[in-house]
Amino acid sequence: MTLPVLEALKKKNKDHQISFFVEDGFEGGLVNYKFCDDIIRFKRKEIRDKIRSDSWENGIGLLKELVQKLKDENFEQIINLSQIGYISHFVSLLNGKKIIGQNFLSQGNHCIRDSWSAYLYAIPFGRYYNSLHVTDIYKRIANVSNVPSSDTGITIEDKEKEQIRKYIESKRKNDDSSIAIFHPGAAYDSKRWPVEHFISLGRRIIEDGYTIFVTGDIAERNLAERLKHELGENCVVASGELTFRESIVLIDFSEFCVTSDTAIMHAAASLSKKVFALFGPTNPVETGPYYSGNLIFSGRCNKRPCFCTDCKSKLCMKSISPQTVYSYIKETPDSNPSCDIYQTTFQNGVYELLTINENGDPYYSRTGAMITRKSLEADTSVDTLSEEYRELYENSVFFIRSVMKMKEHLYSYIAGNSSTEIQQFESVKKSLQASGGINEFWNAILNIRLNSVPLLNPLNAIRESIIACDSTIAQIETALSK
Amino acid sequence: MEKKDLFKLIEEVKKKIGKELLSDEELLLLTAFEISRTYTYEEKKNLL
Repeated sequence: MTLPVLEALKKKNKDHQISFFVEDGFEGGLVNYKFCDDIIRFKRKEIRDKIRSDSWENGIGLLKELVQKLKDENFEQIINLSQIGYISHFVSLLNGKKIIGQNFLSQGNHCIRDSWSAYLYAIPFGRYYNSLHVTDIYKRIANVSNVPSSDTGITIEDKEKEQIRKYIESKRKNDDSSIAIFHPGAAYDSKRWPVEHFISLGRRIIEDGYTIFVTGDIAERNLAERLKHELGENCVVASGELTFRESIVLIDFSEFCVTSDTAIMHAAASLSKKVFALFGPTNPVETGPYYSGNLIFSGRCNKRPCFCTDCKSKLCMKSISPQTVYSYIKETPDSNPSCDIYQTTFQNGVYELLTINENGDPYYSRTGAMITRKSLEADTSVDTLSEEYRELYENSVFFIRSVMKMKEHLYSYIAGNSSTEIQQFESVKKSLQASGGINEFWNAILNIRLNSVPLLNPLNAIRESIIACDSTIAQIETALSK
Repeated sequence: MEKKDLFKLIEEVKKKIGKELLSDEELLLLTAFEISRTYTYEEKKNLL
């Protein structure tokens, strides 16, 4: 999901060197990518295991060595797009001249200074008020949202293609058959489409003359073998046989890819392959395939997107029927689809989902999402005439007034040094937590700013908290401006 | 040094948080501690 950001950064600053820090084994999409000058592979498992062991000092030694190597690079800018805790600590060690995104202060707390990173971190608290894909948010964090992305991302070399061509030849029984990719695994069970559904769809696809290659890692091989057992010789188990990078090359030979919300989905989309993406607990608005023309099949469940990792019913994924997916693969759309269907598209350079069929609850409030976006992009157009807008406006005004009260208590504390003022500040802050709707989003923004204030010097902390309140008020006022 | 010494060091660093500025060495220890608590993609999948 970061390739379009690298592309935009490089196009904007042609002379700049771009290094990408990534965990070893997850660099598959970046290899040979023309917009990335250097891949820094982080051997997290190796270092972690050493730190956990009796020879933990060796682990810390390895970490220190890496930190020194990266310090010596004298990075002008470090952009932390990761939301993983240890990365926040790590980037703080690198002495970058400018750090964007979350970092850990020597005062002892995490800190997010830039507004778009705060927006990104606020989403889980107010998903209903965001319509932006994370890649579009990443581009805003990196300040390259005005640079358009090209149609393709991943670069594959001829020798890689040759190797996989031979692999295909050795596995495919019918040399004339086209290739379809099935990727039945996912990071957790709730995101997986039932294997019976893959089998049912697979039978139809094979009848149409395709060979199905089933991708995945070694842990997902049992799923692939079950498919092979049911589908026969025109189903090939590639799980555990190919690396992530090799799987990407394999996808390049395919006609289409059926997958849930996975890294393979993003890779296939980046190769301009037709992706049939199956979404259940996660949100295609935020993490759908970031290229045009892909189809998203979205399970119907009134709790979506719940992000639940241990759902017992898995209603959403079950509700996506093989018949419906097949009908779209064949381009003869099911007139009564079992699930909601969206097509990925771009409007003015921003990813959007075009609704083909929607009976379930929408993923976001269009008016609400435009308001939160306008808070950082003042030229965003918002429909101010609707009843919903009026309600969101009034709630937001209430929020601004509450933050003003919080500010007054902080000023009073500075003037009189009475701890009662801090208690009252906390009381108003607490009351905002109970304020629902769009205020959940505003409250997250406010708290991210307040939590970023260094606490070592109490008086400075109070002054910086006032600035945090002011910034939040100004942001919401921009959102509500005509 | 034995393994327990690392956690002792981490506890000492944590006690400083909010009271004094952390040195680069202390930040490195905190980073190491955070890394020690992570899981790989495969481990997470097995846990879930």
